[in-house]
Amino acid sequence: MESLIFFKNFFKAFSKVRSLEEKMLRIGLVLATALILIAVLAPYIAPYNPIEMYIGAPYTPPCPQHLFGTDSMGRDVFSRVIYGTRSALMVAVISAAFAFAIGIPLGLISGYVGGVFDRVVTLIMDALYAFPSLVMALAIAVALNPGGSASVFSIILNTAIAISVVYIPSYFRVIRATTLSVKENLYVEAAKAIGAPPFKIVLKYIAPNAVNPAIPIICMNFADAILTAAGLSFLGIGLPPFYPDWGVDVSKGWKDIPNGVWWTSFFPGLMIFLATLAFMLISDALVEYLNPRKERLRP
Amino acid sequence: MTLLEVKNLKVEFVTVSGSVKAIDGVSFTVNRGEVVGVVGESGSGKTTLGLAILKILPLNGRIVSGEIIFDGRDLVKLSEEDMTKVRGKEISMIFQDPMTSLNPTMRIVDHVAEALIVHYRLSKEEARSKAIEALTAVGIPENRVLDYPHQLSGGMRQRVMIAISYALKPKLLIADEPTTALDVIVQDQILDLLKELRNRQKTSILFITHDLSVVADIADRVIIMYAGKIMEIGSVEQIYYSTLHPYTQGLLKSIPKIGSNSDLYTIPGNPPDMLNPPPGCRFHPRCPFAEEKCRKENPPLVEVSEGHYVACWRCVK
Repeated sequence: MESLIFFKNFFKAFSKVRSLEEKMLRIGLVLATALILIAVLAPYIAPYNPIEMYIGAPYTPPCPQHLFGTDSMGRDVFSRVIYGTRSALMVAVISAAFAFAIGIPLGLISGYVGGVFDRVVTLIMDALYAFPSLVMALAIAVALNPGGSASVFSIILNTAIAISVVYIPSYFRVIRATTLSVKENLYVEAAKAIGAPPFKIVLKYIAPNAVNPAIPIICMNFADAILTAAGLSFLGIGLPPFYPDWGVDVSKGWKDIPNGVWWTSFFPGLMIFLATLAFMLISDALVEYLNPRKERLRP
Repeated sequence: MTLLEVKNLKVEFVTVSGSVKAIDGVSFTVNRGEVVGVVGESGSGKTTLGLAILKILPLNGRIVSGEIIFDGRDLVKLSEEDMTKVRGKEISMIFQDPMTSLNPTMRIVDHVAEALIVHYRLSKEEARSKAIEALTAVGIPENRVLDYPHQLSGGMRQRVMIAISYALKPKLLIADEPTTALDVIVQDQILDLLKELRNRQKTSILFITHDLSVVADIADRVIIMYAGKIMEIGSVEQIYYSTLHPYTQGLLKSIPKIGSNSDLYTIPGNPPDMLNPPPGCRFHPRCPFAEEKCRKENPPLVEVSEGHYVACWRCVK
């Protein structure tokens, strides 16, 4: 009974949503939460071992035993898709953390210090930014991955680093731009006037007022990281073929489509789509939500 | 007795259309425990003077020449590292706009505590308790110290700025139009607070304003600035009752008086374009007494009676 009331309120909360942004935010948050839950609870959700072969007959179409069917080696697609959430989210989180940890301090320092240092760093960042992200990530991933017997986690880490390098300029540019405007504020001058050293001014007076615009970028970074990671796996850079990963599965499965076997590539592809959509929706909604000029969205 | 001696200070800003001499050869002194008012209209270089003393000029500004001797040291020659030790601890500054001079993401107690941590290396708890002491001393109730700046009124925020100076006990406080953005009641309270600060801690105050009535209330001596130059220096009495410079006379005449029906007096003309300041006396295009000499030669600042300096050819014998 209580859970019924919970669900009722849950849906009521949805029907009350007025603006488009808020709808986007809520849908995105629900999808993202679901993905995180799936990743954490994968062993409990997945009915079979994702790498065990010949659990069912190869190319079994979706049926009650195999919800998403089985692939060419009789592995359960549903279980693989569930486990695939893990590597996707890991790459997203690690790459966002790296890009955040490097891009934001660089943007703050570059914007605050200015001068030659700023010019040089901006030039490097613009050069990075000019590369198509997949090509860039591809090059770095190939360079980083030793090939052969590397552990799965180190491959995931390398993929994440490759993607984070691509994303550092996005953080850098936004933070540098806001730093340039924040540092003109009187309270920064006042902080100088009380003798605060530069690192303290950046850390306590500029950073808290400048990092807001980076928050939507984190989500965008998440979405892009999932997509790029899938792209890298699809191209065969990174995770080994047995490993449950959406990109790997799509790259193995799409060749089956002409034979009428659509489910081996469709479901992992759908997950890539949903995961990317979830974080994109959150990102887009946050851009609107954190926009100080749009008062109507404030709760 | 002299705390601050500024000698022939020149500050210029580099702009796209040329260099602007915002301060052009300014000399004056501030004694210990003295309140010196700096009066002038917008663009006369008052604020630049304050920023130059602390050496926190904007990037395109620089001190061209001159000396700023503070407590026996020339600040112009001091390294940036030594300068950060002077800022706040020995010379502090409060700004015109209290609405934007506090960091919106920091609690007000931390504004004061941060200054104490920077200069005295106190622990966070010690700094906070001292900060609360300073805040209550300037009239901020203890239950408000954890508020964020947006929760306070303009007057309260200016009190927070003063509390920083109260806690750091600087020898000199540069107050850059601290009451301009406040209504008259609050203005009066802030002035009382500054006077108390001076009396208790013997802080000298360089009080920058364009409000002559505020200066009369708080200052011991007054410096009248116009277009980057000092026009007149004197005690409040000398400036108000034996005014010598035509510019000062103009300023005093343009104070509105209750009960008078005549139109408000204004000094004719506009402040000069600082990219191309007029030759000779900077004030001559607007001066009712301008002579040929005023147009060609710049009058020196001369002492006409004890402590009363004027830069006007009419006063040079």
